[in-house]
Amino acid sequence: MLANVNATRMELLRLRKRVALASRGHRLLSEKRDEISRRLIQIARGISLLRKRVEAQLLETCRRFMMARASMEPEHIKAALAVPTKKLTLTVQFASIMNVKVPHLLKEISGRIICYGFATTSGEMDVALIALEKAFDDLVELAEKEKQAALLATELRMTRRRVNVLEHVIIPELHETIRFIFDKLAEAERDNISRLMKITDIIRA
Amino acid sequence: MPQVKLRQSILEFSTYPPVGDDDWRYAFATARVRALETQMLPRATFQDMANAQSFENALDMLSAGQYAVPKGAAGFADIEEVLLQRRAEVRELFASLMIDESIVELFKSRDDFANLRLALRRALTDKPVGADYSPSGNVAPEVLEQAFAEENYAVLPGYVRRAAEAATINYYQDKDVRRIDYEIDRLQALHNIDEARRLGSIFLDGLFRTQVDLTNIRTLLRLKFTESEQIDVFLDGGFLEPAFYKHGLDLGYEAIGNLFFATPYQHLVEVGAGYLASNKSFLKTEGQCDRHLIGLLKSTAQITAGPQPIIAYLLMKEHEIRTIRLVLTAKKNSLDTRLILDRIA
Amino acid sequence: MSQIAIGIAFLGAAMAAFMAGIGSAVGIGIAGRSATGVLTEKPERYGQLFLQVVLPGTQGFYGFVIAFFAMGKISDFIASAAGLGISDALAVFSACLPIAFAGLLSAIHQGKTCAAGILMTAKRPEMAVKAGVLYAAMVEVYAVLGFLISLLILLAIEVPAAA
Repeated sequence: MLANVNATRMELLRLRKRVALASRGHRLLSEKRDEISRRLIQIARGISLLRKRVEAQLLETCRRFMMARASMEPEHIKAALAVPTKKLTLTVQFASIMNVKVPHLLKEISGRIICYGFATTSGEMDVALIALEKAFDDLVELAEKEKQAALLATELRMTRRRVNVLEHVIIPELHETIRFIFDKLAEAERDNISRLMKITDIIRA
Repeated sequence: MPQVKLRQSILEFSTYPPVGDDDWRYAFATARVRALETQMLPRATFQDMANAQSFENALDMLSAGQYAVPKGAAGFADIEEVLLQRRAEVRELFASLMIDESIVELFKSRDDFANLRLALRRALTDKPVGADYSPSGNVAPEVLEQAFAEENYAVLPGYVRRAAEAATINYYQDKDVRRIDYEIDRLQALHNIDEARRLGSIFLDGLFRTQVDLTNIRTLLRLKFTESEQIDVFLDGGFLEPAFYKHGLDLGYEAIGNLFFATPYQHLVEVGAGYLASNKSFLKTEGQCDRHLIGLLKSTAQITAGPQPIIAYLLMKEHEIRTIRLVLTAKKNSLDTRLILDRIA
Repeated sequence: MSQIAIGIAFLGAAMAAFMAGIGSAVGIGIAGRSATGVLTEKPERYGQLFLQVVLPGTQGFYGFVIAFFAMGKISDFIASAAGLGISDALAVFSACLPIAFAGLLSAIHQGKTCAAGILMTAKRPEMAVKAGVLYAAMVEVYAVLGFLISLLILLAIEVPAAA
């Protein structure tokens, strides 16, 4: 890089401006990095709790459903669950966290989850389906949070790389180039002075 | 047939309704069923299975008897297959031992109603009528499919047609598919009880009315638990009137047992409601209901010859198959042993 | 000696045989059907069940024996000097009644008891003799009592010495 630098005063001024810009960018980016990681930790902490809860709920639902299924005749299960009445519509909106586009899930639930009569079905099925209904809110929230966390993590990685590049590559290089140009210019200056001194000597002699 | 008094009030028996008289035409069939009953799995086997270390151990306990799953069959689907096959065999035996054809038809109609539920749900919500109907009803699946495809109910037997029409009307009241089930449940219960009276069988009458009562008790607890606003779903024809259960909806779990004071169901309601309140589960209610019904079926032991023990054998065997499925499913999913024992109690 | 008297006396003998016989036939029929039902599933129980199936058959024998005795008496009367009087004929007839009715009804009920015993044997083979056979034998007692009374009456009827 140093080879094809125009060691001129213009270049020096330009580079000085770039250094100022780069260090301002570095400061901003590192602030962004800190903020993103703060948010990420916040979300992640929420996720682990939520995740545990959802997993417990789903396990419970599954268990009860198994029991319900086993205690009913197969044809009655088929008849009971053939046409569900519960309708679920999910719409995705985008929100912005630290300029990262994150999805925000909106759900619209209509109808009742229990879609069968009582005589040939097991009560455990009611319990399972109601638990599932409750788990659903958490499940959607969990999906939203996990996606957000993933997107933020990608952004964090990118920001961190940018900060590192600025800090360890671009800014040192710019400084080096500036020093090189400065040295070159100082050399030229000295060169010029010594040449002028020589000329003065010749004239005086 | 002797003229028997069929409308029985609940105060005329203490635990189980009467089982009726001997019918000596059934001497052979009854004896055969009695001998077969000795091969049924005792309760202790189920408890051992529930307490078994693992699913494989529980399965091994069955390997000596008729529920042996062929070696190398790993999946649960194979077990289901064996169980369904056993159920089909039991139903076949029942049909061959039963001298009164109409009783066989009556028990086959259970599958008709199940098929009807499925077909009507599909037809009324504009979904394809589809296949996979149970072949063991009185109406062949093809006939049913065709009837619904062409919307020509005339080929169906009277009780199926009437149920289909009534359920359709009920559905269009507010387009709720549950209404199909409610109406079919109601008509199925009435059909059973009417047929029992037409056949002059005290036992069947008592059996179906007990079943209606048990269904209503379960429904009552389920409505309370889900805080549902539906109240017109109790079935008619039981020993207790629907109004009785509606009254129960306003009571707390502790008080509900007392509502059934002086009925045979007091104990089971108390136990079931208590378990529901503490464990948020119907396992015990259902276990107790099964137990009550089995008790009624076992009371046919006093009959030396008659259709009652044969009907009892069919229902007990079906219950046994369900219990095996239940225990194995629970073991396969490594559920708590306590839960299994609560359910099969 | 009137023809009517002979008719009445033989009717008595016939009733003892056919009513007790019908009872036994029905009784064995019921017990037999139950036994075949059990044997369909458990052929090894044959020996245990055999006694319970044949138990209702005894009444038929009692009737048969009484009928034989009665016929002996009738022929003795006919051979005697006085011949068979109407009162003698009625005596023979009434001597046959206890076994006729006791045999008919007890055999049918014994058949039902045996059927119940057979069903119990299917479940509890160790109780086969204790309860199954013994309870059926209780019913047998009353057939035996009928038989004894019939026999005693017959023996009590005195035939005048031959002419």
